[in-house]
Amino acid sequence: MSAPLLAMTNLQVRFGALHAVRGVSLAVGAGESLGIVGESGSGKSATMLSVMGLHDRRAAWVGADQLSVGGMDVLSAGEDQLRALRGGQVGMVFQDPLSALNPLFTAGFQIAEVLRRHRDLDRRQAREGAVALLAQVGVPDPKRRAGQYPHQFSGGMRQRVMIATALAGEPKLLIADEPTTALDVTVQAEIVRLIQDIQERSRLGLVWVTHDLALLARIADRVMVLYAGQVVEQAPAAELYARPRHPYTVGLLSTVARLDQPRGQRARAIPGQPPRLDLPIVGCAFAPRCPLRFERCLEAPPLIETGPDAAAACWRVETPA
Amino acid sequence: MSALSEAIALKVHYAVGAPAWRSRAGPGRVVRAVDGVDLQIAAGETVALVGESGCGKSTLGRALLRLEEPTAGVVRFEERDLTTLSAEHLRQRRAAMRMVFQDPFSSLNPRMRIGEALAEPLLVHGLCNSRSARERVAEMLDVVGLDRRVAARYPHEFSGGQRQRVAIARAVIGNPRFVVADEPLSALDISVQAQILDLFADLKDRFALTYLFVSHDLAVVRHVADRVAVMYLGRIVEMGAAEDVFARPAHPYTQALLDAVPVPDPTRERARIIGRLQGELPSPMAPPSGCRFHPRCPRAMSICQRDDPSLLPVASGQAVACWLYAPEGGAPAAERTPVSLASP
Repeated sequence: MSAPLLAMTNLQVRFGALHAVRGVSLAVGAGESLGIVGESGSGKSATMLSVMGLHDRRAAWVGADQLSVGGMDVLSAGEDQLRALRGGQVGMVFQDPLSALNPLFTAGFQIAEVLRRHRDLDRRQAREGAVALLAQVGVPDPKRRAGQYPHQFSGGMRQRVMIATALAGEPKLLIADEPTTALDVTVQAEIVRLIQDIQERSRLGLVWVTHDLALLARIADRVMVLYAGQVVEQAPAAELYARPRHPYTVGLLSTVARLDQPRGQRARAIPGQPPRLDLPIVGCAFAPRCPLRFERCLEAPPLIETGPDAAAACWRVETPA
Repeated sequence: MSALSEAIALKVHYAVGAPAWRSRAGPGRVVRAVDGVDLQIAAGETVALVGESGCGKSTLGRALLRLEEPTAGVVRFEERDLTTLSAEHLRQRRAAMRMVFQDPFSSLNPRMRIGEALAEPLLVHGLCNSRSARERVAEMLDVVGLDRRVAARYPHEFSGGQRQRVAIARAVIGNPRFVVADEPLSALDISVQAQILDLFADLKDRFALTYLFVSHDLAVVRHVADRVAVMYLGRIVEMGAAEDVFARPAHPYTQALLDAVPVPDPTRERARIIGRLQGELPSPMAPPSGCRFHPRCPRAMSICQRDDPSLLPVASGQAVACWLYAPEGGAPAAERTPVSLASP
């Protein structure tokens, strides 16, 4: 296997006393898609911001045994190298395209700017390239739309512009952080299909971050579940949905409102709330909410292998209830 | 059966842009947010109103509480016409009909302590004196699963889910009979959504409430709704008992909405054809001719481009506004031929 596009070992992120990411390790290769799922505060976004060196260095402390993108060490990289990385090797799509796009410039201009910066095209080539990219992401009448400003696009179309901007630098790795959360379900389905098509066609490495496990079922080859800044389970998608091993994953799956099951079966809530991240966590972070906890959970469980390429941080893997 | 809340031939239109007298282009443009809706909600019912953003569902929900001024038609609450009520009489009614908003971050005053925010509706409507209000607030915090001591704290100290609990407590504290919840879950994590749905169900039993849930996500409302109304561009296109609509969606738009919801099962999910619904919601300023859904409809026929279907009952129990279900003779056979729609 060739070296992974993204390699991360034991990532730690702290905002002062708040320990947001507590030892996350992952790897993504070309053509692979990894889904990362977790609630607000699980550390999923903080993890992905670290990949692009986007944390404010005055507010956040980021450390890792290894953090490299395309062979480049992100932690020791200078601001110039990081700028070349973002929008170049790594494309990003965020939840809210209205705040990620500049309201003062036309959609075409913003895409063209990436083309000129990362692909060294001249003004005219870049303008044509921008129109071609808008067409590629399914914006109708791309020539006219290239001359419009972000506020003139609907939520779904704006997200397509954002995707075109991310693709302009011909990235090898695409990071999507809740790209469909603000959208209608119908539009969500279109955006999912679009990103999936692009990923498969260009064999991009894809990391999709979300709080919605149902959404990942279609896109992700592998799924990683984060809780309180730690990986609690990871497995190939088929395995994770069919046989979730960690009680938190089981809980998350049962909270999804499913249309493919009888109406009487209500989504069941996980009682309680995630732990505070500004205090030390003793033992298993999920134990206070866990229906299967026992004495051993006072000690923090490591990731225990549950199958090929699959692991869960739960003592119940060794001692079934 | 008399309705608790009722809309009859309701229209809510907004003028946008410059006022007509200043506009050179003649009369100003009009957004037809709600464009001819009949809806009855019986006491004790939970009705879900579903559709994409821009379909007018929030405006309809607000108009039922007369938070929007109707352009035409009637809004009744407990058989009284709200549109002709004086400001004072309307204010007296407000305690009985309340609203929960999508965004618990903006629906609470950041400078008001939780206890003050909860007591406010009681004091405004003269339901309590300030001492008994304090007791009532403490009781209500128990009911929504928050510690009584949070009354002294401010909204920013709470998570989204906790804040939504406060907003719900505030809506329910004055013993209303009717609550309109506008996307009350969509700003929350999936895991928290289930908790808040449980809370809504619990409050309904405890206080004999009637709900209108406004949502873009059919899966979420499926387990709480007795009836579902699907809205498209200012009109209700399908309405019926939740089990009928979910088991046998009749309108092609309802089918598309249901198709769009992901299922947590990779095998099924990868086999599923998604994104079948092409294009975007047309502008409510210039709705398409005939059936408003026809430019996006996979089953459009020639008649759909010309004639507007009305909401009529179909065999499976619900009512549908679609020419596919028009009784024989409703349209000449020639007009039932499918048309191919040019897609860009």
